[in-house]
Amino acid sequence: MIAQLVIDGLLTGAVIALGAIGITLGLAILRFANFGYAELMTVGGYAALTAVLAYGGTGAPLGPFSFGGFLAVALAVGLVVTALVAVASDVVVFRPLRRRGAGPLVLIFASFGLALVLRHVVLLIFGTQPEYYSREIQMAVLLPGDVRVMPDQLLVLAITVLALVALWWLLNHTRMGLAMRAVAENTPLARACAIDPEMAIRWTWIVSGALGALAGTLFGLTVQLRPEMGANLLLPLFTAAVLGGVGSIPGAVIGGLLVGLAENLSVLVLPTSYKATVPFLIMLACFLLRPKGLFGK
Amino acid sequence: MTTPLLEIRDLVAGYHRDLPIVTGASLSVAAAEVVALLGPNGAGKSTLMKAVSGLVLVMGGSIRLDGTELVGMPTHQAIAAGIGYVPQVQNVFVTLTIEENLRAGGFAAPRTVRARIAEAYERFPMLAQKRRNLGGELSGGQRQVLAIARALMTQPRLLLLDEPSAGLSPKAAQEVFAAVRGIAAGGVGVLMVEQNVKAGLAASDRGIVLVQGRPVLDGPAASLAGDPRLPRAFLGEQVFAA
Repeated sequence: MIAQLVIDGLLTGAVIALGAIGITLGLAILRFANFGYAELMTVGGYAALTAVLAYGGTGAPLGPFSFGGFLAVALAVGLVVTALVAVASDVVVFRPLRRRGAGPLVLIFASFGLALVLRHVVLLIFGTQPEYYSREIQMAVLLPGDVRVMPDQLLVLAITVLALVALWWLLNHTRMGLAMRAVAENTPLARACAIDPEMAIRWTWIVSGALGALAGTLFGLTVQLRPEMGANLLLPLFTAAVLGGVGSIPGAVIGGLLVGLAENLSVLVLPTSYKATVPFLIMLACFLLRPKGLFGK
Repeated sequence: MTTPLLEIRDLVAGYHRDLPIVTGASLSVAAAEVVALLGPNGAGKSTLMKAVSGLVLVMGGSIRLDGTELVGMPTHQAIAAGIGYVPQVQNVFVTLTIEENLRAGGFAAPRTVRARIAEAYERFPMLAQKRRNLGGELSGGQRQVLAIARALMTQPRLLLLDEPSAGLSPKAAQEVFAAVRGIAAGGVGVLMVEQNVKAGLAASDRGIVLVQGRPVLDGPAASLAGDPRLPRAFLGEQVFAA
């Protein structure tokens, strides 16, 4: 049973890790806790769903998976739409506030407002009922230790690893990644290097929006799509970012996996209905015992 | 008379609009000239450097680089226009490698960045040896060298150095000053804030003493070093521009 919980925890943690990277990028570069970020996951998931509904499904299922090849196109649509929504939210809401010298607290409140707007727009369009990309039946794969995993879940894990490799490459081997890292560490010095912080901020929104869309779509694929899914994931995402250390991408990944594992393993000692409190307890312990997180500087 | 490389006229600048630190400063720097900007604490030396780089508010006056007005230009554009700026503190990216620091310095000129990095390694072999080390792993003197090399990546016409010898051993400071002389010999104008008056003037062609936000002495470094008005200016006594 423990092995099954560990695998389930890692799968949950993978999606949390993707979202936590977006949160930690925001904290490091945008320099505020963006409580609207989790809604970008919802937007991404539903943007992909819109493409699937318009096409009339995801196509014939691929091998052991529950979905067809069109889901890749739908995911691409979700990534682009969410990146655009993220940039638009900066242009309309956050950039004007930055230019007026607004402090982090003002930006946090603004992000709360934006979160409400995005969530309710999704709610208005799609309603409260859960949605799925596909309702095809999958056969669980039996792993050593009597662990059962759905093929979709294994794919989610593989896609998460690929996304992390792509992100590492972007940050370490491109001009834009260098600019983002420079602005995150020392914005005045980045300016003195002729790096335009606004450009780095724009790319941060694009990258974190795309990551959010990916996390939202993968969550929708393995769980279900609901308008409040972002709101429900907000606490685990922030816990993972804080646990990993603000600004640390490896930290966000490890934090995400640890939060996913802790949530799932908690059912061994806590009633299942208390599972949602686990991220809060981890965050509290982190603030009390190690405020800088595991990898924070 | 030739047009100076940097020409500042009646500059008023500071961090808040109603509290100027630089209060009507006029000065110039020629190409290939090293000018030491001296003065007591709080005189506005660093603020003047930041004003040229576009990092503080400019409330009045003009700053021209080769005739191009810099006032109102964002920092990244001023840097691209030919300014190299080395701040006094936090002047390297501690989480980036030496090579990444140099790449960041050359951000405005991506096509020539490889050639510029090769030049930086040739000029400062220590950087080549430590190219994979993080900026935060360097000693104070090594960081200063990296900061200067980083500022040179865009091939600036004017280099602004804010206390390059601060916190360095005398030997390391001399090495930094020697590097500055070498950079100026290549045609780059250097404006250098320095607290160590003797060493700063010894490394410079000219010295300017700033008191309460405006220059009160301006003259050749050799004669300024022996000028009796120099210590008086530092003590806050009234002196007059030479």
